Amino acid sequence: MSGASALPLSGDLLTRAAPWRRALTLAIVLVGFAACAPAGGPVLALSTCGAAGVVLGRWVGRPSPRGEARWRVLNTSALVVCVLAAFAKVPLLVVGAGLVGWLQVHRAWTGAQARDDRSALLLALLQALLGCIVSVSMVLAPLFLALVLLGPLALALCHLGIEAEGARARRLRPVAGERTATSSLWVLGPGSLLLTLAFFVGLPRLDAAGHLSTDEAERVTGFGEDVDIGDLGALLESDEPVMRVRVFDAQERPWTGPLYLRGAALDAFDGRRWTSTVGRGGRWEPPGASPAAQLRQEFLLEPVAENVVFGMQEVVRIRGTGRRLSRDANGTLRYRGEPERLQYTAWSVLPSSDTARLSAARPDPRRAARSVAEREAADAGVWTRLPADLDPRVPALARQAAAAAGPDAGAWQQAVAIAAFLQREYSYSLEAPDLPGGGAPPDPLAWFLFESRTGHCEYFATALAVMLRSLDIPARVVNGFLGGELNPLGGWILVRQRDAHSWVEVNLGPQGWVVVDATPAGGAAVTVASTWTQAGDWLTQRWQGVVLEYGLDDQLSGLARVGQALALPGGAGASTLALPEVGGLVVVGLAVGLVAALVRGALAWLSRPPGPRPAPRGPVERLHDRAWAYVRRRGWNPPLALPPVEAAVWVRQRVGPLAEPLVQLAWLRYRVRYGGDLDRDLLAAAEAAWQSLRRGGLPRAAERGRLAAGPASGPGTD
Amino acid sequence: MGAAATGLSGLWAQGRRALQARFARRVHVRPTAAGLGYAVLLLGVLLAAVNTGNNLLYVVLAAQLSTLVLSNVLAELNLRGLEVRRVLPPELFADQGAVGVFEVHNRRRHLPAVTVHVEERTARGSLPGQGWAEGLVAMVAPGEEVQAPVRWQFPRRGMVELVGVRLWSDFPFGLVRRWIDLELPAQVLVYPSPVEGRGGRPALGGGVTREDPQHLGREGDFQALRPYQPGDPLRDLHWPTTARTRRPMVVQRSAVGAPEVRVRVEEATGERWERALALAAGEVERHCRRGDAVGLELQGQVHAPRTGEAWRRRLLTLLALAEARP
Repeated sequence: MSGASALPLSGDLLTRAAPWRRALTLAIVLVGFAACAPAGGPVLALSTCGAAGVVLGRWVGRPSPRGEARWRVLNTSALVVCVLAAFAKVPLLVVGAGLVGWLQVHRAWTGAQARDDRSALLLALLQALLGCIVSVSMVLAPLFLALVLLGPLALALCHLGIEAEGARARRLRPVAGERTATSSLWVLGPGSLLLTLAFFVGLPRLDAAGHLSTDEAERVTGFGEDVDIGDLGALLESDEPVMRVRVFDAQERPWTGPLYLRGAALDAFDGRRWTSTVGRGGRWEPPGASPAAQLRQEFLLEPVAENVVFGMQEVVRIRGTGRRLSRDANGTLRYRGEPERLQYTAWSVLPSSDTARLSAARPDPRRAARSVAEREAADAGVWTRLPADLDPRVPALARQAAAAAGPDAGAWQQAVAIAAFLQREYSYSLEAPDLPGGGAPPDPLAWFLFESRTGHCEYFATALAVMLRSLDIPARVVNGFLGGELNPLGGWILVRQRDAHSWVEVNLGPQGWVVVDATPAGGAAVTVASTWTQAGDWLTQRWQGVVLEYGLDDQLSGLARVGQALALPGGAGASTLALPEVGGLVVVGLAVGLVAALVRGALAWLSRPPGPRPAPRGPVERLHDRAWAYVRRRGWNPPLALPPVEAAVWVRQRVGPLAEPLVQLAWLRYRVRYGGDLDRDLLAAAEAAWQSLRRGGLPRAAERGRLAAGPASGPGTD
Repeated sequence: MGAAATGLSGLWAQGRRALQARFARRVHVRPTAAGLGYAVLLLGVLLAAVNTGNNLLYVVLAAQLSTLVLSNVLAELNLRGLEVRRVLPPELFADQGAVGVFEVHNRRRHLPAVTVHVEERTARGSLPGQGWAEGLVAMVAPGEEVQAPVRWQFPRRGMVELVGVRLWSDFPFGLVRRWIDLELPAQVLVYPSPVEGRGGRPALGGGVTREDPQHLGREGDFQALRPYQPGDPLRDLHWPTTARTRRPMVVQRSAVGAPEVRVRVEEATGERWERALALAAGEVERHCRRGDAVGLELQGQVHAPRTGEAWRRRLLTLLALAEARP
């Protein structure tokens, strides 16, 4: 009991813990508000007001009985407002965010106890949940990290506070030892982070919903198949990422040519609006044999408003969408289902760039057709139709521009001549060509060609397509993206909304559909992003790839890789994701269990009680051990319960004086162990005893059967 | 072969002992109110995550599960490797609290024990927090020992069987309450609650056959030292001993011609009997404090007046164990 001690806790540990608890709780509450903020709109406003209210409440708020009555009225009013808002069809998530935020403010103003802080932490968790539902922004990543690292510590400090308050109420006097080991609490955060990672990776994705649910607001808007002229204008001012793409040529070298990422092609123009009139097309079966010269493109595509699959012209093979694909007569590829984030690889073949062959080719959509639908569309002449009320000046202008190519020029040369004319005579601008008095012009194309003479890619593409059609050359407008920012850190090209582009495809019979771009050059090339942009984009992509897109396939492929690494039977087969889902879930469950067991075992090992440590064995003890090993090899086994000297005497009783050195050795061992330091004479005596025992030649127990009837028990019978 | 067999049997015995030791100290668990709320929230998040496939919900779910796992593992480890010794107060009177200690020793190598409650178990199956006496250990570092002050209070006199102690804790998050029952059997004698008679006159059930107001017990030869009791004059304090033992001690001297007092306990039943014993205990206490020679007449047995601490305890023991006659 001399080492026992008792210090009153209240003056030591808790007084130090309480400010930490309050600060951590405030930090986590603010994290909760910040988690809701990315939702924007009213939720952002509510979160900002709530955070300010909480900070103010923590600063000046004091609980008082009079204040409680006032707060009761305010709480009731807040509840009524929430109910009314719900009936007024305000989104429930907004109502929920408001209600939880109000409760946080109430706690901050009226609660001063540890129990209130714990409630605030749970409310912050609810806010984080709301944040998860309303947003997938990468802003959530650091907030989650803070929540996982600090949350357990804050909860533990709340627990300490609650214990102290309870002890005060029950008149207990908490005591602590002289050494406080509060540093052990700091491991809660890293431990929680590791376990969270393990659970996140190991929790089986049952995929009940089939795919990640994404809000409509998250999709790239403005890109669609029914496009009014000018729609792209808004898109062209947005920095929102649309996709990340890597392109390699047939030799697996990065592609350095123009990056036309084809989306939807449109065939019908009514004077104001481009639409597709060829239907959705049937199921797309990629050609069996792929040409050798292909461009391989790896896409990570954000959800766009239309479920269009992007690729460079002309896509001949796609892998990894996991969806059924269709292809219409305009060559637009689509996937089934709701627009979602996609990761896939596409292989494309570019049309010939041989000018001579292109110049010699004659337009013939039937020859370029790859399906019945395309042949039918060609027969119907959908790519040469003109608007009914086309301004007659447009065909005249087309003829005038095409004349520059010469009287015998082919379709290709005429198209190039018109495109050059447009690039030369017209200027590029993102501003819509409105009328001087305001409002949209009744005929945007005529206004562009003959009045404003300025516009963006949609106007140029429309002008080119209509002018070509007026010359009876089949043409269609393609909406897609051109260029982007190269991110060397991630090794991909980041394509943003502002890279949206419109161009024209001209039919050249056997050469297929060839790209002709009439837009004056500017902003179309691939540029290198700034360092900050690279880092931010890389983080965003990691967030999407590692967190948002992590799914059952990743789990199964990870397990398959583990199986291969361990060379488990069937591991090779598993690499093709052939594991049945249920089996995969079982394996994932077992893996999680194994991790949990390992953690548990490690913690149990850390908390094991200190056992008796074996005394260090000196030279005399080692000689003693060797002597006994020798004795036992000769078949003499005294009862285990006998201490060393008595055991040696037991042997001497049966063997006679030959075992006398064993007795001496046992006494010497005692002397060293309990009698003090070892000296040289003592060690020499022990060595001599051991040598004497060995030289004496102890008889074997079996040879001395007559000695077996000893006073205790026979050799080997114990 | 024999040596191998011997080694194996030794190993088996060691393993069996380890298993027995492990399962003999089973840690029980029960969720707290906050833990139940947390579990409901976790279930909701689980359903939402599975139904939406939203990986951010899986992140929250993983964080919640990790908190739950940490909570359970740390709570169990928090109670393992603790040893408790009960140091009861020297005297216990019914209905009066007396402070003793639970000595808690953390035998672990690395982990401290945090916010561990130690309480006297009342009976098997009762829940934590319902014990007789409770102490709170805020933190014990590995290898350290602390004394948690505990107030024992028993409602009735007599011999009380103590079953053992219970260690329980809500550490680390207050989501689950874990407890471990330790067998620590003991018997404790609870004296009757001493009741002062009115004005020193004989009271119901108790009687004083002779009174002598002289307090000669402070003037005789040195006899013994005893702990200070309320009512002792301060000048009787023996300061050197008080300083050494860190508790107030008073000097007892043999009175020259110490007055003799006989306390008689009248026969009764039920509560009246308990009341009589309490009054008698009060008289014994009062007169012993004054240094009187105190005798006792209890259920026909007469104990001649004597002085001293041992005699006082003897009388109180007789009163504590006296059974009412039918």
